[in-house]
Formats: sequence, C-alpha cells, structure tokens
Amino acid sequence: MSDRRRITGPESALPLVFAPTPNNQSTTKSPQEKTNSGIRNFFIKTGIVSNCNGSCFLEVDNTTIIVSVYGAKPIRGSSVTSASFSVMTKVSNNLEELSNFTSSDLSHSKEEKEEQKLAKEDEYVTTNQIGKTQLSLVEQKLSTYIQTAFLPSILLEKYPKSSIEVFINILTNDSHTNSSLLSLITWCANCTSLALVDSGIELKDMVSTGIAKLTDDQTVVIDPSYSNEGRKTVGGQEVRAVASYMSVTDTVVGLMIESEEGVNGEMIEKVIDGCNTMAREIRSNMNGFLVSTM
Amino acid sequence: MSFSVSEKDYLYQSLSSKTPIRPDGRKSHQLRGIEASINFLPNSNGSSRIRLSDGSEVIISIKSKVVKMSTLADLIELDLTIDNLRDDLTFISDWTNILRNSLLRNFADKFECLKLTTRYYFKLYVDVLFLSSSSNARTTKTDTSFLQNPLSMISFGIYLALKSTRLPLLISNSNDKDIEELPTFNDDWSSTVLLYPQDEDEEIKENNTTSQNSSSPPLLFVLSVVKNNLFIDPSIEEQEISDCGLVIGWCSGKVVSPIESLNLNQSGSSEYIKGMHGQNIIEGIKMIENVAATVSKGLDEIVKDGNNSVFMDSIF
Amino acid sequence: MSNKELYSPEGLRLDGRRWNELKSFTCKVNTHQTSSDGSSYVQQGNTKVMCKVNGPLEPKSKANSNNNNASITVNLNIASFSPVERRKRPKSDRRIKEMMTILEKTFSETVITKLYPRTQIIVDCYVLSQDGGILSAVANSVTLALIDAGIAMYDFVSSINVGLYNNSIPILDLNHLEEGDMSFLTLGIVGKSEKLAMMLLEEKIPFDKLETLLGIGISGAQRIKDLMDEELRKHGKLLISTAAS
Repeated sequence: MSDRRRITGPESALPLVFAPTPNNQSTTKSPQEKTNSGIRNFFIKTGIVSNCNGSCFLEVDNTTIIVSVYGAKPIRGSSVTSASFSVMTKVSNNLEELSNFTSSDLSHSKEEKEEQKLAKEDEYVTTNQIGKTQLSLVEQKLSTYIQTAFLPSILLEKYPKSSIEVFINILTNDSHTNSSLLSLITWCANCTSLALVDSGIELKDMVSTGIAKLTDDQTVVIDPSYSNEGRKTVGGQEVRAVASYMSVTDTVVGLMIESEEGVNGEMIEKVIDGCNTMAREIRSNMNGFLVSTM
Repeated sequence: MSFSVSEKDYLYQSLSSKTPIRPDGRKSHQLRGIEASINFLPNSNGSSRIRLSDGSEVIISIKSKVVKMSTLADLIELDLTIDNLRDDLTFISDWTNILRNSLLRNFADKFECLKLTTRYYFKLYVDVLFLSSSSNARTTKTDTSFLQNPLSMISFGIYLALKSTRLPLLISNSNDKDIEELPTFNDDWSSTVLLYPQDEDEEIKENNTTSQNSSSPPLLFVLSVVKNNLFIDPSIEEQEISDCGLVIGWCSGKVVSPIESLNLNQSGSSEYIKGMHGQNIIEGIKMIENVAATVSKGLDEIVKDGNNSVFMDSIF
Repeated sequence: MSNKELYSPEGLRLDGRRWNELKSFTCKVNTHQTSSDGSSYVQQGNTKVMCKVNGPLEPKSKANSNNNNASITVNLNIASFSPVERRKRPKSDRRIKEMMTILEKTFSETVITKLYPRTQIIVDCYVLSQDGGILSAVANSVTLALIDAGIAMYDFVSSINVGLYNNSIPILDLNHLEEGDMSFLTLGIVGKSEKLAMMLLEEKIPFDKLETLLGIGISGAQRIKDLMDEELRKHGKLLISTAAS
C-alpha cells in the first residue's frame, strides 16, 4: 500500500482536519431527527480537500468522514491494461471503542457476568496504537468492503497503467453509543461514492448504500440509529444488513449480513428490501445534491 | 491456467445460458469431490487434510493450550499460511477474519467445552496451511492472480479437524474459585474427550435432542454468480469470470452469517465483475439450505471413519 | 522427567531404540501428481515432511537464470504446528535460511545441472510434524521428489544425524529430546559411497570423536538410501504394471 517513491512527511505530521462549516445546503431539521423515510439527516460537501482529485465530507449524527480520491495517476513501469484500485481506511486514534465490534458480538453467550466484565475490559487490546503500520480489523473490513463494492462501478479499463487510490478518514464516530460497524460502512461507502464522482473518474453508475435491521418481531428498521434506542440490545433474532446498489442496473455490488442466529431466505429478502429502499433514498438525495452543486 | 479473452468469453456464455454448462460437467449445486483424511499429526489435538482433484490442498492443525481467562474472543486463534506468500497480504488477513469470525460466532455453546475451571480455559490454535494448485504458475512471489478462493475448502477442513479434536481429560478439581491450583490432566490419550462429541447411535440422537449433541462447526460456501445462474464451489476458471462472489455460512442446520459479497477475482481486473441481483442472494441461500446438510453428513462420515480407527500414521 | 536419562545403562534410549537404530522410516513418491512435477513424502518416526518439485522451468526472474546450469531454489516451510509446542517462525528465521542454503548447495552439486541450462528448479518443502532430524528428513524428501520429477542426478543424497552422548557414546538418528540435549551433526552422502555431500554441525564435537560419528552416520545414511531405493523400485514396478495393463 505504501508508496515508496513518494516523499512522506515527518512522522509527527497530522492530517489536515477541516472544521465542518455550517452550510446553507444543509437540511433545516435538527440532525437527531429522522426524515419521513426513516433515514437520519446527513450533511455532505464535496471538493473539500484541495490537493487530491476528488473528496467528500460527510456528517451524520456524530460521525464525520472524509474521503479523498487520488488518481488516476500513472504507475511507473507497469503495463497492466486496467487501473489498479485500492482503498485505505484510517480510524482516528481516539476512537478506541470501534475495536470491540468483533468481540462484543460474543457477549451474548451464557457466560457469567463476571467474565463479561473481564471481556469488556480487554476489548481495547486490538485498538490502534500510534505508529502502527498494519490496519486494524475494523479498518481492514471497511477497506475490503468498499473495494469490493466499487470495483464493478469504476471503468478501470479506461485507465491503463495507472492507479486509483481511495483514502477514507473517519474523524469522529458516535462515541456515546455502541454504533455498529455496519452503519459506519454504509456512510463510508456513500461518502466514497460522492468523492469518486467529484474526482471525475469515469463510473458506470454511482453506488449507493443502505443499511437495515430486522428486529425480533420481523419488522424492518431502516438506518437503525443506536443513539435513539440507547444501548444496543444484544441477543435476540436480530438480522443486520448492509447492501450497496448500482441503481441503474439494479444490481447488488456489496453485501454484508450479520446475525447471531440462523436466518432464512424470507428474512434476508425483507432486510435486503429495506437496504434497497434506503439506498434509493440516498441515491436521490445524492443526485439532488450533485445537481445543486453543478 | 490463465485463459485468453475468447476462452473466457466462451466460458461466460456457457455459464450464463439458460441451461448452464460448467467446464467440468458439474451441476450448479454440485461441489467438487474431495479427498480427506483426519488425525495424522501426532503433535496436534486434531488435524485434517483435504485435497481437490486440481491439486490444491489444505492441511489444518488444531492445537490447544491452557490459558488464564481473558476474553472469549481470544480463545480461538486462526493462522492462515498460503504457499510461500507473505502473510501480511490484505486478502490473507481478510480470509483469516472471515474464517475466525465465523468460528467465534458459531462457537457459543462450545466455549463451555473449552472451560476448564473458573480461571482456566483451553485456547485453540487453528493453523491452516493452504497449498494452491498453481504455485508454479506464479510469476513473482507476490503475484496472486492464480489463487482461487479457498474459504469453502478451508472451512471444510476446519470442520473435520475440530470434529476430530481431542482434549485431555481434567483430573483436578474444576472449581478453583477459592483455592488456586494449576489444572492437571490425565495423560492417557485414550481417555481424552472429543471436543465435538460423536453420536454413537442415530437413535440416541433422536431421543436426545439437546443442542450440545447437534452442534457442529460452521461451514462456509462460496458461490459464484453469473447473470442469473449460481454456482456452488466454483473452480478457479469459473471464479475468474463470475459477475460476483458470495460467501454464505451454515451451521447446525441453519444459514448463518457471514453472508457477504466477495471479490473472487484475485487478479484485480474488473472487466467481469458486475454485481448481482437481489434475487440471486435469496436463491443462493435456498441452494445452501438444500445442499449443506448433505455436505455436513458426508463430512461426518469421514470423521466417524477416522475417529473410530486408530491413529493414522501416514496420510498417503 | 526431571532427570531424563537419554541413554540407560542397559543401552536403551528414551524411545526404546539402541544406539545404532534408526527411527521407523517410510516414504512415498508421487504424492502430488497434479500440483507438481515430482513429489514425495518422508516420515522418520514422528517427523513428517512433504516435498514438491517443479521444473525445470523458465526462470521467474533474470536473477535465477544461468546460461550454463540450472538454478535450484529451495523453499522450506516449517509449519507453526509442527513442534510439540506451537511456535510461529518468521519467514526470515536464520536457521531456516541456513537450512535452505545448505539444501540448495547440496542439490546444485548432485543434480546434473549442466543438462538444463537457463532453467530453474523449484523445490518446496513442508515440515508438518517434527521430532528431530528435520534437515535430514527434508534432504531425503528432496532426493525422492527430484527423482520422481525425472531430473537427472548423479546419485541419491541420503541423510541422517548422529549425536554424541556424554562425550563418549555415539547415537544415531536423534529425536527432538535427544537433539535438545547433546551436540550432533547432520550429514548427507552421495549414493552408496562414503562421499559426503552435505554436513552441518551447529555445536562442538571433540575432534577425535568426529571420525567415529561420521562412520556411524555414513552407515546409517546408506541404510536410508537402501530404504528409499526399495520404495522407488516398488513405485517403478507399479508404474510399469499399470502402463502395461
């Protein structure tokens, strides 16, 4: 991933962080409120980083994400017929609770409370350490998902001998609530989509991503925000799903479904439909935004 | 192994037609035949080896270690080695994560089995050595374009290995809340206990429907989507031209997570990657629901044969 | 086993062998027909080694191309689960590197490399389980795999290790407990001769004892050669009989 030809800055260098400027385009409702469709309001702004080819800033509740796209830039000595596409995610160092995504899923087992407490204390073991080189679990999952989902949409064969690099920076994340990895993936993917459009790289279609959850009583909740319900209620027959769509051809390009229990086709159908609804809504929002900024 | 454009096109056509024809003549829900053996590593608690006819091979060892309780997620460590590839490649850690998470999620009851005392647990090390069929076709050490997705094969291997895993019998007191003592074990191999107890008799199984008896390690199935057709266990050629990949987990009679989309094309070119329709996912789940039980039954058969016979000295 | 007695006064070792007895040796050739040109599996006691040979083929990089000879590359993969206590070795482990170099050098001499100019022969070895004598087991498996691949060689390389107990008693074909407790050397001979093709000594051995050790090692290695030869002949007969029918 690291480009040895590039001159890297001093070790102590910090990435530029832009304060989210209040913008007229932002919706007037308070951010905590949900729109009619059930999706939380979100704020987007493109072209925010000047030294890259395309960028996008996204804010939803307390989560802020910046995606910057570099490319297509030539790779020296390469003779591949299509561009290489890579995604790199970085979660800011203070977001330690992100690391418990994987381990928290386990706490539903019938273990003694005492052990759960023990487990909680140790959840921070895998957190990012400053100066580490390898991606953490969360960062890796995010990168892979985004890469898989966007591969079909980018016309890579238009850019031979070159590379397209996407850098996702998660600046803040809902630190009060146990926000899920899936929700983070959703918003990162949507943000990446706009950043790619902003970069002018040729795309087959924009990718829009939706998240939904199927609760115990078989109802679908679109864009479940944990801030409303307080702490996530673990256990039970909950199916959570993220799906990315290319709306024009109505194809699923990315999918991730999590569930503690077994699932069947019916449940999946319901929850994917929920994702689709949200993805469409997001897509029309993004379209509106792009038209307004033109 | 690398096909020309016209060859790939031909393959794509034949796979996307209404009555698809797979290059090896399999039905769309038919898996490749495997050759499997278990219990051949003398230094491991459980082991298995699976070979496919294309020459790829996976060797799995389960080793245990007594540890002080920390977190449940720490009780399973999975390590994946592929040929002579460097182990810091992103896709290797991706695959490791998928495999490990599927194990952790579906191990819930089994953490009880790993529990020794109130303080001590068994920690399981799952080591996977995957030898691809085409390591000689590789041009450089980091060239991965000839690598097929091994998730399904590895999960079968882990299934076999875990089912053949024997843990030593604890002979010290299991309650050490008040008096701290190191657990001691019976050192006779014949008195070890199977991690996944084997049903001796089918009838007993019917009467005794506790979850303990029916639980099994998770299996992962890789599906390849070509237009409206789905193919289970795609060969490397099929993977290369598929629109999209899908991995679906299955455990104890149910479809479980992970249900994720996959990039099956390791070479990084995207000309064939198109995505899939929502309907494909539902169909995929139905296909797995139909097929998986037979697969696990088949694997159980191998375990039964292997566990009943004495220790295998040689795998060849 | 606090005070482990590696060699009892009655002349028995921990695993019941006498000083000059080999571990049970079994081998198989052509175990990986589809994924390699030549392959073998060697089992010496609880040490289990797999070997795959690919080549002679076009060199992957210019650096491996030699205008007069074939170049031999040996990759040694010691699985983290192979010892009794699980241990993950980094790829750059010095001992592994050293073993790889020794094997490469030995087999570059034994293979008639001038017959295959501008080619590369890749040897992949996998140690699945270890109980002493890894290097000798690997060397034996490489010999078998090269023969199976039909690569021209001057003769077999057969290998064994010998240790010196209490600075007086030579002991043949050590297991891992014995290896940990006494200094030993690993040697490989060419064919049925007494010519050494390979030797590795990592600790100290008194000079006057060296000759006895070598003598015992050579006779051990010759025995290994016979066993390998037997298996190869069996395999050859099988091939001929299947081809005839």
